[in-house]
Amino acid sequence: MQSWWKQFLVSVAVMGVVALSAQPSMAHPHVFIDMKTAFRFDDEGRLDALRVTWIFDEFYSAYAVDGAPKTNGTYDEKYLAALAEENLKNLAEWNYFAEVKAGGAPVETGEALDGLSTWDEEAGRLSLTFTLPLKVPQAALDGATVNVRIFDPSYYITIDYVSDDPVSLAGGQHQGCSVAIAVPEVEQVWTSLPEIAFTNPDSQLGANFASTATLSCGPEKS
Amino acid sequence: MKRRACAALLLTLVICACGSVAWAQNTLPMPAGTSPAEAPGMFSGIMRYIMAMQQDYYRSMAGALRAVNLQGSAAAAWTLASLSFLYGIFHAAGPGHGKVVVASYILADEREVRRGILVAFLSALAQAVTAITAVGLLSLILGLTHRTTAGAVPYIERASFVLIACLGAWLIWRAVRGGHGHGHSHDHHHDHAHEHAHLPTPAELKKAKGFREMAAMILSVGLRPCSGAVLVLLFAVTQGAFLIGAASALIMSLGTAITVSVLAVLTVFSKNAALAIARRTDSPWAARIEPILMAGGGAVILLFGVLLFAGTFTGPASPLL
Repeated sequence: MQSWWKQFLVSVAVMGVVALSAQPSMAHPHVFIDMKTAFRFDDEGRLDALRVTWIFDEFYSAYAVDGAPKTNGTYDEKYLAALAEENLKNLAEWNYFAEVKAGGAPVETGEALDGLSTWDEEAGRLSLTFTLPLKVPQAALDGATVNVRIFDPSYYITIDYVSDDPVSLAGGQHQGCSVAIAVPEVEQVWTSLPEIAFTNPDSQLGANFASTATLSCGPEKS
Repeated sequence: MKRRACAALLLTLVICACGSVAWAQNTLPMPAGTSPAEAPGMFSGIMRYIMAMQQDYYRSMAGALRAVNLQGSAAAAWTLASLSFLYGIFHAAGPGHGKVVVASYILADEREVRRGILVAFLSALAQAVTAITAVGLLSLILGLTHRTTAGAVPYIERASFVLIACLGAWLIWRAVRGGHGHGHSHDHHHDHAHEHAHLPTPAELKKAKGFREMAAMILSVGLRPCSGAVLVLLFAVTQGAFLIGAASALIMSLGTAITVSVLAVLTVFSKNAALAIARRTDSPWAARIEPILMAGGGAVILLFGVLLFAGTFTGPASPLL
């Protein structure tokens, strides 16, 4: 009798250990955002803001506008404005998922301005556009590049640049400036990340999948 | 010495069978930071890639469903059907779909490949039917919004998790009650001798009990709607195309059934191999292996049900939802 129980407990322990230790990842994106970013410059040729446009996937779009009155294929302006405001209010806590660095050092960004939601009836997709000002404008001269990454650290949302015209330059003086986008090899990231990146909520999983936009100005482009 | 070697071999096979359960297992809500920081094995790398693939299919399904609804062409319908099927296959590798419960149940109390596959298909179908019924009722008939309907899903899931835990407890109870004194390894050899008996034999009674358990399992697993089907159905409702969504959900369940079947078959084979060796040994493990497996499988199901139930109280925090 006694040995029966011993064996039973050993079996349960073995099953438990095997079942618990072989846990594959759970984290994967549920919301897909296609992004465009305009880099805005001041008159002295410094980057002073980002104008970010997010085009949500069809599922999230349908979800966000569900139940709202629709006339002539679009939603009430007031409704869309309230939606943009609410989204941006919530996103403020996460700093709009934006990470800006100049010459490797973090650059602070302020509260989002001029939020605007629009509805594309043909595609069935909602978009959100907002301006993210830099607290201190940055010059991307002499190889001191400005790097921008916009990502959800939890990777609940995946944010990827659109393939056509993902970035543009706007505003004052931006002669000699250009933006390059580096997109990570997603397949490789999925298969090579350590397990802890998926199980630890503080691991900034989304950062591994984030594209980096690099702004460089001046005659000696790299 | 020989006995010990046999016991070791047996244990290895049991672990193989457990491996199938482990493979099935990827929904346990784990406490943060419990895994060591090491590079993933090839296997978990592949699992992750599968997750990424299913998200691609998922994403494409939105456009395909809209195309079927707006154009109504056969080509669009074919695209949606293919995407639904493929999505189902990959989606079932992710959380849910009764993989842990089906595999543990087979480990505990099933040895026929055919029935293992039947269980996989019926529970997949049940999950699709639950999703169609839930979304149809809440969203279409009661006219609740997308958000409210999605918010109701965890309550349905909770009921499923409670039933899963009960099933686990029942298997343990049966194992402990039947585990005194005599082993069951010879019962099945008597089946054929009693084929034409008019009174139910002990073997037949056992089989009937097996069917009851199978039905209980399909019910408990099937009560949890397929998460992929719910998302597609909710989207279909917003497009005024519930029936297209329902068709997609049913095709999807064929895909999930295939994945769960593969797991079920692997589990049956591992278990039968372990039992075959057990019969040839005189190790103390041999006579006890069936009740041990039943109790062990029951314990995994019970633990799983409880953890899933607890997991429904913590959701992901996201600024957009």
